[in-house]
Amino acid sequence: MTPAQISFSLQDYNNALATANNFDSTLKASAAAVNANYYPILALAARQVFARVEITVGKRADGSLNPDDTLAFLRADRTSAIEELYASAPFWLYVNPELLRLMLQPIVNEHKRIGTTAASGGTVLDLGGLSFFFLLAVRRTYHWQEPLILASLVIRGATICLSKVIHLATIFA
Amino acid sequence: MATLRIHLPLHLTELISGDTSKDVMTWKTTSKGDFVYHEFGLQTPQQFVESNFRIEYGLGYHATALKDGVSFATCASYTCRKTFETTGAPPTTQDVNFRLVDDGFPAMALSYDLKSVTQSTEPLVFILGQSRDPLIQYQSPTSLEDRSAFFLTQFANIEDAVRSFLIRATNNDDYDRS
Repeated sequence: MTPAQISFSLQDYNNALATANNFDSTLKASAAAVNANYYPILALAARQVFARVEITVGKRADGSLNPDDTLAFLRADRTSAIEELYASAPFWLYVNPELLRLMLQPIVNEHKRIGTTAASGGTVLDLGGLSFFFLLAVRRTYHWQEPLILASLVIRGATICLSKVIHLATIFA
Repeated sequence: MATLRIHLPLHLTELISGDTSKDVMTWKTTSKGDFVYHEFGLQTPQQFVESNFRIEYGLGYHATALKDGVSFATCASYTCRKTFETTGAPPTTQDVNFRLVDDGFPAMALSYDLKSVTQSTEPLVFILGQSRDPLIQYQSPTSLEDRSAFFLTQFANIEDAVRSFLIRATNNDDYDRS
């Protein structure tokens, strides 16, 4: 499914409402299969995660918007932080894997962009330090091939995510 | 028969400003065909700048369909409320004094006069939104580029988007309230 095919039928409030209600009922049914009390948390989390995604398009040379050049970003303290992408990945795989791909693409692009600089290597941690401004942080890395980039992203994302979860658990213990 | 008047104030300033004592806001009210909207924002927007975790550019929108009994106004929040309380009718002024957000708290008012209501009316739809263009600045492998929201590819401009979202909603008899 190409970005241009992401259907945009929300041309009026009623359609948007019907689509939203449909999503909620599907989510509710999926949650009920796990546990009767799961849906409220899932519903809240879903809204939070959706609220953070920004689907963007680039511009053509003539200034018009180009829907074929679509990238998405997860906006919070840090733009597209890899541990947040990792943590939210199961949700995107459930809702629409294309959105996850659109969010991973900028990170893969970033590795390609800075790939040939030398040294100790490492994966990009995020795409910027502030929510709304992309800082050109210099990160040292090898020239990664895409599968390696994704693999190392998963590992690093999982590690950071796990360390955050453990940290939270110690706070609430 | 007693009539019930309801007044719902919405605090909208956080949509456009992170520091209400420093930011000067401007606004524009457009009444066009079948809908009316207030468009409000900062006089000097700062692209990609945050203050207190809130964005310092972009425009807020508050809109509703132009039906019977709809009126709109911009005025200082306190003045709007006073007019409504003392006269029972909403104000219809257009405030033109662009000023600091917390100087009198300019209000973007929209109201419906439901007259004598004896049963549930059709739902009243208000649109409240914020739009930033560009959305994000992104360093691609080839260039530093400004990127815009995907939904803008579906509409000619933000006004079209607001209207499209609004009008079918208010004219559709099968509006599902669930």
